[in-house]
Amino acid sequence: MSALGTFIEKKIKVITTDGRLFVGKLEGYDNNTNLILTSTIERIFDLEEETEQIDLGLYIIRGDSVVCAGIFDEEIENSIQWTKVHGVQLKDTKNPF
Amino acid sequence: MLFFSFFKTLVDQEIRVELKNDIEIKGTLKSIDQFLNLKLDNISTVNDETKYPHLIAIKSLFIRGSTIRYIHLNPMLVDANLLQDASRREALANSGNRIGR
Repeated sequence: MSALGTFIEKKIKVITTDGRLFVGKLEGYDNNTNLILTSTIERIFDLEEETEQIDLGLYIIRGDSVVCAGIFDEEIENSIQWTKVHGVQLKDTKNPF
Repeated sequence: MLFFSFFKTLVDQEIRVELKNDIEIKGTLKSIDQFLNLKLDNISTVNDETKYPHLIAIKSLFIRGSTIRYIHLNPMLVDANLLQDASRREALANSGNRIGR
Protein backbone atom coordinates (compact mmCIF):
# COMPACT_ATOMS: atom_id res chain seq x y z
CA MET A 1 0.00 0.00 0.00
CA SER A 2 3.05 2.20 -0.11
CA ALA A 3 2.13 2.86 -3.73
CA LEU A 4 0.14 5.92 -2.68
CA GLY A 5 2.98 7.13 -0.47
CA THR A 6 4.69 8.75 -3.44
CA PHE A 7 1.54 10.84 -4.09
CA ILE A 8 1.33 12.36 -0.62
CA GLU A 9 1.14 16.17 -0.49
CA LYS A 10 0.87 16.26 -4.26
CA LYS A 11 -2.07 17.22 -6.43
CA ILE A 12 -3.86 14.15 -7.71
CA LYS A 13 -6.88 13.29 -9.82
CA VAL A 14 -9.26 10.68 -8.49
CA ILE A 15 -11.93 8.81 -10.45
CA THR A 16 -14.70 7.29 -8.36
CA THR A 17 -16.89 4.25 -8.99
CA ASP A 18 -19.85 6.49 -9.93
CA GLY A 19 -17.75 8.03 -12.72
CA ARG A 20 -16.91 11.39 -11.14
CA LEU A 21 -13.55 13.15 -11.30
CA PHE A 22 -12.00 14.96 -8.34
CA VAL A 23 -8.79 16.99 -8.31
CA GLY A 24 -7.15 17.83 -5.00
CA LYS A 25 -4.07 17.64 -2.82
CA LEU A 26 -3.59 14.26 -1.15
CA GLU A 27 -3.15 14.80 2.59
CA GLY A 28 -3.55 11.24 3.73
CA TYR A 29 -4.65 7.71 2.93
CA ASP A 30 -4.94 4.32 4.57
CA ASN A 31 -4.94 0.62 3.77
CA ASN A 32 -8.52 0.73 2.50
CA THR A 33 -7.63 3.47 -0.03
CA ASN A 34 -9.64 6.00 1.98
CA LEU A 35 -8.31 9.35 0.75
CA ILE A 36 -8.14 12.79 2.34
CA LEU A 37 -8.04 15.59 -0.20
CA THR A 38 -7.79 19.35 0.35
CA SER A 39 -8.60 22.16 -2.10
CA THR A 40 -10.70 19.64 -3.93
CA ILE A 41 -12.60 20.48 -7.09
CA GLU A 42 -14.97 18.31 -9.05
CA ARG A 43 -14.83 18.60 -12.82
CA ILE A 44 -17.87 17.67 -14.85
CA PHE A 45 -17.33 17.16 -18.56
CA ASP A 46 -20.03 17.37 -21.17
CA LEU A 47 -20.00 16.81 -24.93
CA GLU A 48 -21.61 20.20 -25.71
CA GLU A 49 -21.72 22.32 -22.56
CA GLU A 50 -18.71 24.00 -20.96
CA THR A 51 -16.90 21.99 -18.32
CA GLU A 52 -18.26 22.72 -14.87
CA GLN A 53 -15.87 23.09 -11.95
CA ILE A 54 -17.22 22.84 -8.43
CA ASP A 55 -15.12 23.85 -5.42
CA LEU A 56 -15.51 21.34 -2.62
CA GLY A 57 -12.60 22.06 -0.27
CA LEU A 58 -11.76 19.29 2.18
CA TYR A 59 -13.00 15.94 1.00
CA ILE A 60 -12.70 12.42 2.33
CA ILE A 61 -13.31 9.73 -0.24
CA ARG A 62 -14.17 6.28 1.04
CA GLY A 63 -11.81 3.64 -0.30
CA ASP A 64 -14.42 1.37 -1.80
CA SER A 65 -15.55 4.12 -4.16
CA VAL A 66 -12.07 4.86 -5.52
CA VAL A 67 -11.31 3.59 -9.03
CA CYS A 68 -7.93 5.18 -9.62
CA ALA A 69 -5.76 8.08 -8.49
CA GLY A 70 -2.91 9.66 -10.40
CA ILE A 71 -0.36 12.42 -10.09
CA PHE A 72 -0.25 14.70 -13.08
CA ASP A 73 2.12 17.09 -14.81
CA GLU A 74 1.08 20.49 -13.42
CA GLU A 75 2.55 22.37 -16.39
CA ILE A 76 0.38 20.48 -18.87
CA GLU A 77 -2.58 20.67 -16.49
CA ASN A 78 -2.35 24.45 -16.10
CA SER A 79 -1.85 25.02 -19.82
CA ILE A 80 -5.24 23.43 -20.55
CA GLN A 81 -8.34 25.61 -20.69
CA TRP A 82 -10.58 23.12 -18.97
CA THR A 83 -13.84 24.97 -19.66
CA LYS A 84 -13.24 24.37 -23.38
CA VAL A 85 -12.59 20.64 -23.01
CA HIS A 86 -15.46 18.33 -23.83
CA GLY A 87 -15.98 14.74 -22.86
CA VAL A 88 -18.50 12.10 -22.02
CA GLN A 89 -19.65 11.20 -18.56
CA LEU A 90 -17.66 8.18 -17.38
CA LYS A 91 -19.57 5.00 -16.68
CA ASP A 92 -19.80 3.67 -13.17
CA THR A 93 -18.14 0.36 -12.34
CA LYS A 94 -21.39 -1.50 -11.78
CA ASN A 95 -22.62 -1.66 -15.36
CA PRO A 96 -23.31 -5.26 -16.39
CA PHE A 97 -21.93 -4.61 -19.92
CA MET B 1 -0.93 -14.94 -2.63
CA LEU B 2 -0.04 -16.72 -5.87
CA PHE B 3 -1.22 -13.97 -8.20
CA PHE B 4 0.43 -11.34 -6.05
CA SER B 5 3.74 -13.19 -6.49
CA PHE B 6 3.01 -13.70 -10.18
CA PHE B 7 2.40 -10.00 -10.80
CA LYS B 8 5.53 -9.12 -8.88
CA THR B 9 7.50 -10.92 -11.58
CA LEU B 10 5.92 -8.58 -14.15
CA VAL B 11 7.19 -5.34 -12.58
CA ASP B 12 8.71 -2.98 -15.18
CA GLN B 13 6.78 -4.68 -17.98
CA GLU B 14 4.21 -2.95 -20.18
CA ILE B 15 0.65 -4.09 -19.41
CA ARG B 16 -2.85 -3.06 -20.44
CA VAL B 17 -5.55 -2.82 -17.79
CA GLU B 18 -9.26 -2.80 -18.54
CA LEU B 19 -11.35 -1.30 -15.74
CA LYS B 20 -14.96 -2.02 -14.83
CA ASN B 21 -15.92 1.46 -16.10
CA ASP B 22 -14.75 0.35 -19.58
CA ILE B 23 -11.61 2.51 -19.55
CA GLU B 24 -8.47 0.83 -20.84
CA ILE B 25 -5.06 2.01 -19.71
CA LYS B 26 -1.62 1.07 -20.99
CA GLY B 27 1.44 1.58 -18.84
CA THR B 28 4.53 0.20 -17.17
CA LEU B 29 3.76 -1.82 -14.05
CA LYS B 30 5.63 -0.22 -11.16
CA SER B 31 4.18 -1.83 -8.08
CA ILE B 32 1.60 -4.28 -6.82
CA ASP B 33 0.23 -5.13 -3.38
CA GLN B 34 -1.78 -7.93 -1.80
CA PHE B 35 -5.11 -6.44 -2.96
CA LEU B 36 -3.75 -6.42 -6.54
CA ASN B 37 -3.78 -2.63 -6.44
CA LEU B 38 -1.48 -1.53 -9.24
CA LYS B 39 0.74 1.45 -9.89
CA LEU B 40 1.44 2.25 -13.53
CA ASP B 41 3.91 4.76 -14.94
CA ASN B 42 3.87 6.49 -18.36
CA ILE B 43 0.21 5.74 -18.82
CA SER B 44 -1.87 6.29 -21.92
CA THR B 45 -5.53 5.56 -22.44
CA VAL B 46 -6.56 3.17 -25.20
CA ASN B 47 -9.95 4.92 -25.38
CA ASP B 48 -10.42 8.07 -27.44
CA GLU B 49 -8.87 10.90 -25.41
CA THR B 50 -11.18 13.51 -26.94
CA LYS B 51 -14.12 11.64 -25.43
CA TYR B 52 -12.38 10.73 -22.17
CA PRO B 53 -10.30 13.76 -21.08
CA HIS B 54 -10.30 12.62 -17.45
CA LEU B 55 -6.82 11.15 -17.39
CA ILE B 56 -5.06 13.86 -19.42
CA ALA B 57 -1.64 14.95 -18.01
CA ILE B 58 -1.46 12.03 -15.57
CA LYS B 59 2.06 10.62 -15.31
CA SER B 60 1.70 7.94 -12.71
CA LEU B 61 -1.54 6.18 -11.83
CA PHE B 62 -2.63 4.11 -8.85
CA ILE B 63 -5.45 1.68 -9.70
CA ARG B 64 -7.56 0.03 -7.02
CA GLY B 65 -7.52 -3.75 -7.54
CA SER B 66 -11.26 -4.11 -6.95
CA THR B 67 -12.12 -2.01 -10.03
CA ILE B 68 -10.05 -4.01 -12.49
CA ARG B 69 -11.92 -6.19 -14.97
CA TYR B 70 -9.01 -7.60 -17.02
CA ILE B 71 -5.26 -7.29 -17.19
CA HIS B 72 -3.97 -7.92 -20.70
CA LEU B 73 -0.47 -9.37 -20.73
CA ASN B 74 2.02 -10.13 -23.43
CA PRO B 75 1.87 -13.95 -23.82
CA MET B 76 5.68 -13.96 -24.05
CA LEU B 77 5.81 -12.89 -20.38
CA VAL B 78 3.65 -15.70 -19.04
CA ASP B 79 4.28 -19.41 -18.72
CA ALA B 80 0.62 -20.44 -18.66
CA ASN B 81 1.36 -24.09 -17.83
CA LEU B 82 3.52 -23.16 -14.88
CA LEU B 83 0.86 -20.73 -13.62
CA GLN B 84 -1.86 -23.35 -14.00
CA ASP B 85 0.16 -25.93 -12.07
CA ALA B 86 0.96 -23.45 -9.34
CA SER B 87 -2.67 -22.34 -8.95
CA ARG B 88 -3.83 -26.00 -8.74
CA ARG B 89 -1.21 -26.69 -6.12
CA GLU B 90 -2.26 -23.64 -4.12
CA ALA B 91 -5.96 -24.59 -4.36
CA LEU B 92 -5.09 -28.09 -3.15
CA ALA B 93 -3.01 -26.76 -0.27
CA ASN B 94 -5.85 -24.41 0.76
CA SER B 95 -8.48 -27.16 0.72
CA GLY B 96 -6.13 -29.28 2.87
CA ASN B 97 -5.92 -26.46 5.42
CA ARG B 98 -9.68 -26.25 5.67
CA ILE B 99 -10.03 -29.98 6.45
CA GLY B 100 -7.24 -29.65 9.02
CA ARG B 101 -9.16 -26.94 10.87
